[in-house]
Amino acid sequence: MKFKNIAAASLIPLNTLLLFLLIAGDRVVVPAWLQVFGRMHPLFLHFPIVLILLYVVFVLAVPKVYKVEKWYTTLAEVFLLSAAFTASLTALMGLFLSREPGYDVDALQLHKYTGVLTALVLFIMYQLHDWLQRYSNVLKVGVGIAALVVIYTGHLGADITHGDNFVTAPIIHQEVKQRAALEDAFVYADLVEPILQDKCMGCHNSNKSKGELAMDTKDLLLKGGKDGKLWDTTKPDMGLLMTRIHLPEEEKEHMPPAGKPQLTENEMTILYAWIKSGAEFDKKVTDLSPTDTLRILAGKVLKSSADEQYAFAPADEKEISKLNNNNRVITPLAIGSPALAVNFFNKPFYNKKALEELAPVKDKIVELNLDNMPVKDEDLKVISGFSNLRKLNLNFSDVTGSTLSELGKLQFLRSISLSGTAVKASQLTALANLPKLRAVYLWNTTAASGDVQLLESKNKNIVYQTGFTGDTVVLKLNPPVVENEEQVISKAEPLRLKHYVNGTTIRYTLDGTEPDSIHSPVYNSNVMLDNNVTVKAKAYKKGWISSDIIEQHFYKSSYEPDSAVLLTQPDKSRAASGAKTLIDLQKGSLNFGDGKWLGYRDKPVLATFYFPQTITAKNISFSMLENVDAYIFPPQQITVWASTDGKQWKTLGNITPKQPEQKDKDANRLISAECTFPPTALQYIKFEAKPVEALPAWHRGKGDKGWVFMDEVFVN
Amino acid sequence: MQKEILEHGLNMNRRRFLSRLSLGIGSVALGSLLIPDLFSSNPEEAVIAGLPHFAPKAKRVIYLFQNGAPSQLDLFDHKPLLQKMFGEDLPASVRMGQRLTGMTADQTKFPLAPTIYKFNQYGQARAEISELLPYTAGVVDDICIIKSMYTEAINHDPALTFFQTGAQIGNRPSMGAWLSYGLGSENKNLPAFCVLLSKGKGNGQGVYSKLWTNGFLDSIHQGVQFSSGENPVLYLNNPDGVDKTDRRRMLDKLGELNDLAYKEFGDPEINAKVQQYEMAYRMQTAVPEITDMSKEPESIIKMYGPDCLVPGTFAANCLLARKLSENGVRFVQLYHQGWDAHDNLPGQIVGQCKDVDQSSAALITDLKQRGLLDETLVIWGGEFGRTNYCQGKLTKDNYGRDHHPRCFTIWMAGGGIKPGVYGETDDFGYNIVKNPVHVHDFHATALALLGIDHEKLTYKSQGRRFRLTDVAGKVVNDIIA
Repeated sequence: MKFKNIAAASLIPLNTLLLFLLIAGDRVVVPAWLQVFGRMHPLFLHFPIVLILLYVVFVLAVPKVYKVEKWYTTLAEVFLLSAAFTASLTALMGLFLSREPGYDVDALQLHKYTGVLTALVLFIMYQLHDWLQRYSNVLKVGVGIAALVVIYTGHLGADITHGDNFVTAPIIHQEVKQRAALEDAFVYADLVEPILQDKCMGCHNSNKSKGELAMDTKDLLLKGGKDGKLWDTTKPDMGLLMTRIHLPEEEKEHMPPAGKPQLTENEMTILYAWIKSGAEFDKKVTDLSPTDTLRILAGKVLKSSADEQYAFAPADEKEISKLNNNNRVITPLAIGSPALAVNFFNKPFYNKKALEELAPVKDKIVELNLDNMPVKDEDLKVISGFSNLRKLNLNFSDVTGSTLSELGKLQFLRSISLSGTAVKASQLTALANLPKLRAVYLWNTTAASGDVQLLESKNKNIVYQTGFTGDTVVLKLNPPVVENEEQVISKAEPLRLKHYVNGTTIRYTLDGTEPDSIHSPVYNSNVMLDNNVTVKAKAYKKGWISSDIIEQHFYKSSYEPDSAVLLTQPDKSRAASGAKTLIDLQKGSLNFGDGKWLGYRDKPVLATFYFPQTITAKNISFSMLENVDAYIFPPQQITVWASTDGKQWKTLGNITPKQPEQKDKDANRLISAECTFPPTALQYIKFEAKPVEALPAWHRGKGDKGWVFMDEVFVN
Repeated sequence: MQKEILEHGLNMNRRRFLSRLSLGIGSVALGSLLIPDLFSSNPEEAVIAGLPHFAPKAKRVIYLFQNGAPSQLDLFDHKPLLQKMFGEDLPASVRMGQRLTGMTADQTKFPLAPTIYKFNQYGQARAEISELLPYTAGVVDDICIIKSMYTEAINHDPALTFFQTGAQIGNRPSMGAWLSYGLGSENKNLPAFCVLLSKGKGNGQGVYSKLWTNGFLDSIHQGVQFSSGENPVLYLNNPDGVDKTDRRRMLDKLGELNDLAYKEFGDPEINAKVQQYEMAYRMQTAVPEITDMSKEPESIIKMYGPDCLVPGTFAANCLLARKLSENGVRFVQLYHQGWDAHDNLPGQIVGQCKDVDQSSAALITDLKQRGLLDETLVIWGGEFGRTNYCQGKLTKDNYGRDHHPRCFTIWMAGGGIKPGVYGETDDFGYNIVKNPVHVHDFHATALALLGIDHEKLTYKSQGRRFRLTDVAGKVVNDIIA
């Protein structure tokens, strides 16, 4: 009974407090810890609802005979007291919660009143409890009122938390307003007004003009509200509307009010741009310049009619699959779309009949691709029957344009590609009147060089794409290509030069000089290679800048040794294929790690070659790598000996290859050193190549030993 | 005896059948309550039809992948602040402790390295483009430069794999394979997914066939690599001594045998095999026609540059890509290697730009003048960006840049893309400050342009449904026209 006493006793102060808070409103400051209490409102409110309804059931549904029993009266009183107590507490919590921002002010106000009313009704009923027991009809009426009030309060509360029509929303058919296509849209009606409708007119309409502002008609909008007109383009801040929407959201003056759906950045920009441009009501989006902010934003909001819906019924799927084959591919634009795209592939399979066979689906075809197909002029008559065609590709077909007027029947045609055909500018007037035509592609046609500007000035809706001609462009040719695969030649073979661009002239030299357009011979396939030569070649063509020079060294190797022996061993990691490396005719690349180079550092290269027969030689060339940064230098000295029996050696020559200088510090190139001597009969050759002992002072490894990288030795 | 008892226990009797049945029906009913679509039509069927989910803006893709990661700071993302702060240490407040690669993690200093190249503004969007890309600057009004791309990977292989397959580990289908699966092939005489490789002189990073894999999808969706030289497609030509009629007769006989096998076993793989043989046969005619560049007019050679006739160059691949795309190949994937300039960037990037600038721009112009740009999505970009600080020694005219996944620039053009500049990075060019675009978002957007809802294009493998965008990705509607 303790609870009963406490509850009953607290009812009076609670309800007084309720009334006080309701009347005092915002003038009382609520401490933060009470907000925590306030936030329990959504949880707690279920108690009074259930208790009140229980009490209602008790009063209305329990048969009269039981009502005299003690358990009934006790329980009834407990229910009523609990209901009154929890209702008061809930209402109190609600009042605290209502001070937090984020709620719809109107709905909240009413909810507050009905909430407090519920608490008061129950409080009074409890106070009159004993008296009411005697007048059961009055009690029933009172109970009925309490039930109605609590249900209505609950409904208002639910609207606040879940939004209007939360319960019925799934069954109410929402009418989605179809937005106009970009091409037909008005700036105000299709861009600005929908924003106002969405975000402002909930409160500012002719029924409920808060701040005496209504926005539903042009006149009302121009009239403004109690603070004056909505915009003033002479002010730097553009007036009231702009100021209010740009205030920080916490500001009281900020619109839309805190808690309501806010304007997005795009929407604010649209409103700003519209007001700034003079707030016109009858302007079309297409009248704006393409760089206009509003125009660009319109592009984001509104869809172009290019995303059109097709009104016709889909074709029979069986029909489509019957017409489909490897060279004529018919597909719907998307799942469920009645519109068809038709592509033709594989020239030899195309003929007029293949087009005519499309008759059963001809008014479903919106795109037709005949790129590179041998379409004849008379075929256009068939195409003119494809009444829904939007896009037609006739690039590089055989049409001459003489029957282009046939296509004048295609009322929906939006773009036609005629690149690479024989069509002439004058023939295009036949298409100029097509209402939807926007693009004509004319690259690589005589029409493109014709009077396109005249066509364009007459038909402002149509863009005539003439593409790139390159007539005035002067580019540099790329160098010719040497096609000879082997750099080492053992017998005379033709030099094979090639240039990929048709109509170029290649001039070349074999003596290491730079080719030029006057003195150097023109390359033909009779040029022979039969020596150690450096080929330099350059390509020329009228209308082009001549190419860079291509340079290629060829090594002649007249005598191939039978075997080679390395008397000193190369560095372990640079052993390539051993002695064989020097005589395998495989040139190494500029990458010293490619496994085709023998590398020596601590020892000189010392090797002998053996020839099966006695040969008469007069020249030996050593093919090596120079990669200065990687310590790979030419040898300091090379000495060559000859022998006829492998025992008696005679010195043939001694050469000191040219060493790189500081300016060559980034060099990475193939070099060769030649040792020439009087013709000598021999069967054995021995040579020694000494690596540089101390790298020069300018090198990053100064004083260190250099490397020698050798890949081939040729005897001539 | 025990065995019999066991068997009896295992056997289904009437009582057990009925009790199981009621349980079964109950769980089915419960299942249908929990998953409303349980008994409606299978959502995957719609995809397998090989059609877009909604009207596509683009029908085909040409992806010019710049392998190795081009430096956005030297090409598109101009940061004058770096000029002022030359050589100063990257403030820790900007780096915010973000991870680095093993190559610069040990550096004690991160000296800011401004580009040595000049920038100018071009086009309606006043986009800033480096002097290294004069031709790209010329088509600026046709491209959308996205400055706010970011990725999760910091090294080449995972980053590349992520861009290609939507996952960093290489077992998923490549983007082209997904499209081949989702949209089917347009031209039945060519593969739906073709791959072309080229190499610049800059520091290169490998490309591997896992990047154009079909993953768990059917093998017909795998990318077909076209190589330069006499045999663009390996094993396509008839062997010596076999002519076209021989081949036809052989295929006919083989088809009959396969048909018998199909009737006997009913394995759909047999039919798939037959179809592939037939497609290869048709490719024998189609491929030589497409790879023949001799009929291209001189203006095309001038537009792409003379290198477009040298097989194996990026320019030649761009031209070939246009021809393949023009002939209905859904997805043409190019890779150009050599952008990985950890050192000597100014030296390397000049050559790389020369390789790709003219022909990339030419591809746009070429598609446009044929009326194909509207329906072809062109994508240009690498797997990540490069750092604003120098890797190695910084001098006035030389620097290197490490990998930078936090922000980088790519561009897209054609097929429903709205030209302009999208996204912003901070003044250091280190972090994104506006409109970030994740790799998944990029994939979602590309698919949306092709008429595909990236959440609906799925394939079930090993017990789960996979998507190109994994479990993420938002369509960037702002760049869609």
